[in-house]
Amino acid sequence: MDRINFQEQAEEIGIDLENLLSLYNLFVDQTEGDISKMESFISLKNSKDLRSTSHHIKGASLNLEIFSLVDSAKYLEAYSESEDWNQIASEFENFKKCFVILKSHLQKVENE
Amino acid sequence: MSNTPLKVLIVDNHPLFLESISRILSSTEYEVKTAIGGLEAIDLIEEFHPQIFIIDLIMPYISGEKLCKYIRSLDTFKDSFIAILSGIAKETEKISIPPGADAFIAKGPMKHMAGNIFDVIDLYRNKKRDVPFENLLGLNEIAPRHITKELLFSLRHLEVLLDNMREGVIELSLDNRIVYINPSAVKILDSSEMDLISKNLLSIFHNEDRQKFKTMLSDFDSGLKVKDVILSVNKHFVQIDILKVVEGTVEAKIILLNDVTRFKEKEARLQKALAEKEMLIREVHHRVKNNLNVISGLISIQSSMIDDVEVQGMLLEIQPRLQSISLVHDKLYNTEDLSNIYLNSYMEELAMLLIGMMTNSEFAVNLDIDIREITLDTDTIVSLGLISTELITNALKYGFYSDNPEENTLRISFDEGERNRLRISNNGRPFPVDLDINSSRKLGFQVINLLVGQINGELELKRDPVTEFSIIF
Repeated sequence: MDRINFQEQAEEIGIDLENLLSLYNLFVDQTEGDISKMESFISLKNSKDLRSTSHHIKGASLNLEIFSLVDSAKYLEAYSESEDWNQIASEFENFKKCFVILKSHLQKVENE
Repeated sequence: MSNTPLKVLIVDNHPLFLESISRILSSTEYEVKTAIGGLEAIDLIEEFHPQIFIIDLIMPYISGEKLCKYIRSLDTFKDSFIAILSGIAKETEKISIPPGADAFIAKGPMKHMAGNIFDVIDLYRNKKRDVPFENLLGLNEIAPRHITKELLFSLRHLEVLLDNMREGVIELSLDNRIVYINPSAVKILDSSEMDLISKNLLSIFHNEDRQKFKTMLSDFDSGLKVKDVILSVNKHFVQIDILKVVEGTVEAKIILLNDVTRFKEKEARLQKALAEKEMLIREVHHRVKNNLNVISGLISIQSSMIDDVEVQGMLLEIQPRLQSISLVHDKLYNTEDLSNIYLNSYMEELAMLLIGMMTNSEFAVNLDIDIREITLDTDTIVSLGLISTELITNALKYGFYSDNPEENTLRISFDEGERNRLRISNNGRPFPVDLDINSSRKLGFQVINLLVGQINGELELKRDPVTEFSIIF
């Protein structure tokens, strides 16, 4: 996963770092809720809601330019459409790993 | 530039987009409010009076397109600027921009969206409207995506269907606010789409109608099924079904309204025609009864002019027979059912009538009826009435010794079964042993045997302990 340069991103958008970090925290909170929903969708093989949630995460992560999550959500959306549950299981693990990395990176920056 | 902050309302069902755009506009130049959906936006706009709206296209309940239409229906917002925000911008070959929108912003990375949002603000300040291609912002900054395109296609497809359906369709949020209404439902409610959108369904009805809808919705909310309920709404008779729709975390109620006014009017006309027909049939029965009574009266007058007692008696024997038929028509005239008659009340009245005709202060008879409430068809009743008239007349004429009513009992009973049995019995004088009821040449028995045959029945006689005739049919 590419390291996000929060300071640079905040400058590009034209907001201060504190504001940007609060948006990332909002994204993290939302996505944590989405991940537990996705776990339930996968166990119930509910491809329709899994696809819709992946689509929303894709849009939100694109908004913040978290490209590792954009790509993973894009794959999850596509595999949900074809109901390829093996690929979904494997991509979902990858998605969660990327998410954990994002969280720890965010925490580290906030603690600095 | 004016020092008054520019009022911006952002409407999106995704909190991150709401927050992102709010942060982009977090300066004293702007006064920003956010709404998490179309209903919340409608609640805010009158009070906040935004100059710029930034609205997500696809949202649950009230879509961006519908909200745009609603805003444009209000005169106070005719100068406001509406920018539609969506991830679909690059997905459609021909971009479909909601009527009334002034600009279209593609959803994408914040840094690009930030620039596009400021461009929108410039467009508003420069009063550039009507969505020329230059107002489609951010198209070159995002990669093609497909899901929303499919979603929009099915949405358009459904809209065409819903707009052309004869049935009215209303979608309600959980708190019963109208978030969608199709043209047929608008017609039934005799209003306009934009006057109804976001209103609580109950608020558009008055008094009794409101109470009926309130009960129906609360029944539905408590888990009861609401199907084929017919209510009168705005001079329409409407058949109502309510369905629940759950899509992810969004729940809605769908009300289907089927206008059955024409059928109800037809039904009312048919009921009126039927009532008129029944009234006519009753009138015919009334006249037949009266005519039979006239004939009976004529016979009575005719008999009084005959000196021969035997001939006079023969003529007078016709009267009870006529009375038994007249009583059938009287019953048909006075009851709701025009094809069946209650046997119990008919037999009781017939027996009373005959006793009244054939007894006097010196001779009385005690009547004992044991028949439960049961109806028989008119033809059977006419036959049973004539048979019973003969048997009761015989009993009254020949069956009793005494003048004391305590000692004279005429009993009529009925047993229902695979073969029904009507019994007529009298105590007192035994039935003559030498009289064969099957071959008697007396007119009375000839009538009895003929009518028993007509109802495919049998006649039985028991002489002991009392004289008892049974008609089995």
